[in-house]
Amino acid sequence: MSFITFSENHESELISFEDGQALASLSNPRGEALKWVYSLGHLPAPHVVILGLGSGFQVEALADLSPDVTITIVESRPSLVPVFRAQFPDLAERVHIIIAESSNELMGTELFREMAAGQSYVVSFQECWGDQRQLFTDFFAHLTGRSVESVQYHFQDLGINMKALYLDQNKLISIKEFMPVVEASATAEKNKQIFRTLGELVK
Amino acid sequence: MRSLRSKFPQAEIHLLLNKQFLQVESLLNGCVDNFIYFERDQLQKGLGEASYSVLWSFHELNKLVGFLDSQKYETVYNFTHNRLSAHLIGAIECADKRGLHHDGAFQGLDGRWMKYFNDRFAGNQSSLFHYVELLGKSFDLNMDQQLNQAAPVRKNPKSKSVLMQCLTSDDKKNWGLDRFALLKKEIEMNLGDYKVQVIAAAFEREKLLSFFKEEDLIVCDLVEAKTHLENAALLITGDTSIKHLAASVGTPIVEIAIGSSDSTKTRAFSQHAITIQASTACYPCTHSQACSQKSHFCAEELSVGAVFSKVWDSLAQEKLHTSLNHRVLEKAVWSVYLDKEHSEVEPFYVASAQEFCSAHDLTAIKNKLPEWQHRSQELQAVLARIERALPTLEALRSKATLVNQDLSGIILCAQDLLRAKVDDGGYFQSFIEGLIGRFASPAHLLEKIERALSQVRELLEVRQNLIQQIEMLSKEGEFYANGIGQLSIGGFEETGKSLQRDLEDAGI
Repeated sequence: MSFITFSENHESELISFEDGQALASLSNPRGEALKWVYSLGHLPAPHVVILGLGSGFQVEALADLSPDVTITIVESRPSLVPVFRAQFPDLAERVHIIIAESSNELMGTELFREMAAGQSYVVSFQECWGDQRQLFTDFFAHLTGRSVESVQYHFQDLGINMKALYLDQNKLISIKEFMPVVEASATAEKNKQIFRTLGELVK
Repeated sequence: MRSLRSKFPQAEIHLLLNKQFLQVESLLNGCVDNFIYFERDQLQKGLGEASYSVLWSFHELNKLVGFLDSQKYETVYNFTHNRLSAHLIGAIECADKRGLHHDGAFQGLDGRWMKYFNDRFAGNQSSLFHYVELLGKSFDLNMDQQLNQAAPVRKNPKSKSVLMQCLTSDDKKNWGLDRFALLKKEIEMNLGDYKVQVIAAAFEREKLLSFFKEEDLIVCDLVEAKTHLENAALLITGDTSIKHLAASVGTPIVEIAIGSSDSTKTRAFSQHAITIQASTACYPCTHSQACSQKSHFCAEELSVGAVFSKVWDSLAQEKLHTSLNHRVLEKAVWSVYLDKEHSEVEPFYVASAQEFCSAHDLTAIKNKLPEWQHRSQELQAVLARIERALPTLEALRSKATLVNQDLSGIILCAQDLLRAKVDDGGYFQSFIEGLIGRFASPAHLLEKIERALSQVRELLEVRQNLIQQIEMLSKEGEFYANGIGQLSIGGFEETGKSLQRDLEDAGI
C-alpha cells in the first residue's frame, strides 16, 4: 500500500504525493492540466473515462473545456477522493469516481459492463499514476476491451468465443487479432459483414 | 448520378458516400434526394487509437447499417466497386443488389461489361474504355447521353478567362509550376485579351506563390470553384478533381496527362476536353510509387509550345478529330463482344459497323483496312501457335510435379506475343494472367487457359466480322462506281460503230 500525502504550493493549491512523488506539477498544475486536455483534441464520445485522479486538476480542466461530457474517474487510491471533493466542490455533480484496487475489482463494476456498449472514451493522465503505472495500464486495457479477459467479455454478447484465439497477454488487442475468430464464430452473418467492412479499413 | 436520375425520374435516390466528400452535396442538386455519410476517418480512428473501446467502430457501423436497413431500399448499387463497399452492401438487407457485393462470397460480377470493368480497374491493367463508360455499361446507364449532351448554357459565353489548376494529388502527375508560369505568359502574350488565373485550394497557395503573383491566384473551395469554372473560357489542368467538375459544367478543358494519370481510364469525360498525354515508354506508371526514371521524362517531353497549341485549338473551337489508330478499332471490337450476353448470341455487326463508319472519316478507314486485316492474321497466327503448343490434360497429369518446362511451349508463345506488341486490344490478357496467376492443379490451370483462349477465339471472330462489315460499308457504292469506270470502251464498240457514219452510206 502506498503512502499518500498532500502539500500546498505557492498558489495555495493542494498537490497530492505518493511516496514522496508529486502527482501533478508543483509550480503550475492548472497549466499542465490544460495542456493535457488540449492534447486530447476532439472527444468523440459523450462519456469520458479518466484513468487516475491524482490532484484532480486535469479533471477540472476537462470539465471546463468540455461542458457537455459526462466524466467518470477510475482510481485505485481512495485517500485521494476526499481532498479532490474538497478542492473542487463544483464538480461534485459532474464527476463520478470509481475506486478499484485491482483488475478483478474493476471488472466487477457497472462501468466495465457499460464499456461493453462501446460508447465511452478512455483517457489517461499518466502524470498522476505514480507507483500505480502497471495497474492503470491494465485498467486501460480492460476498459477499452483490449485485454484478453475483457475482449472475451465484450464479445460474448455477439456470440463470439474469444477463448479460441491465441492472444498476447501483454499487448493491446486490435481488430486484426480477432478477425480470424470472428470469421470462424457462430455470430450472425450481418455481424461478420460489419467486421469484414472494418477489416478493410485497417488494411 | 445524372444518368441514374434520368433512368428513374420518379425514384427516391439516396447516396452513401465518404464524409470527406461532403462538398459534392451542392454539386449534385436534383440528382440525389438524401445524402448519407460514411464516417471513414472516424471509424478508422476508432480502430486505430487505443483510447476507443475495441468495439466502438463496430457499434458505430452497426448503427449506420441499422439506419440503411430502416430505409427498406428496393435496389442498392455499388458504384465504388471495392471490397470495403462490397462488404458494407453485404451487411445491408436488400433483395436487389447491383455491382460488387459480398453475401457469403463476392458476387455481382455477372455480365461481360462488369467482368471487364472488374478486370481492368482492379489493378493497373490497361483499358480501352473510360471509367465512366464502363460504369455506365456495367450498370446499364446511358452515359453517352452525358458525353454527347450540348454544353450547358454558359453564364458568360464571351468569357476571356482562362483558369489553370497546376497541382495534382501526386508529384508524378504535376507538369511543373515553371512550365505553367511560362504557359501563362505565352497565352497572355499571344492572346492579349485573355486573362490567365490559377485556381487552387488553400493549402496549395504557398507553393504557388513562388511562381505566381497573389492577384493571379483564385483560392477557393469546390463550390466556389464551380462558379469560376462556369464563367471560364477554358481550364488547363493536370489529373485533378477540378477537371471532372469542369466536365460536368461543360467548361472546355485542356488536360495534361502524365505520370500515373491514365488518360484512357480517367480523362475528363467531356466532348469539350482535349487531352495531351505523354508518349514515354513508362507512361502511364503505377499509382502510389515514386517516379522510377532518372528524370521526370513524361513532363519534360510535353513542351510549353505543344500545350499552347492545344490551348489555341480549344479557344478557337477547332473541331476535334479522333485519330484512327488501332485502339479505335479494338474498342469497337470489344464493345461488340461485351454487348453480347453470351457466346451464342449473334452480335449486331451491321449497327456497330454503321456507328463506326459514321464516327470516322471513310477515306481514313479505307486506308487503315489492310493494316487491320493484317493484324487480324497476325493475331490468328498467335492463337493457332498457342493452340498447337497447349499440352493435353493427360500429359500434364502424368507429371509428378508441374514445372515451367512442362509449359514451355505456351510460355514462349506468351513471351513472343508480349515482345511483338501486336495485342493492342488486350485480347490475350486473360491468357497471360491465367499463365502467371495461381492455380490449384494442372486441370485448373488448363481450364483457365482454355477459357481464356475461347474468349480470344470469340474476340478474333468478332474482329474479323466487324472489319468485313466496315469494309463493305466503307466501300458501299464503290463497286458500282468502279464498274462503270472500268468498263472498257470496247463494250460500246457495236453501239459506237452504229453511231458512226457509214462512209459508204455517206458517199451515197
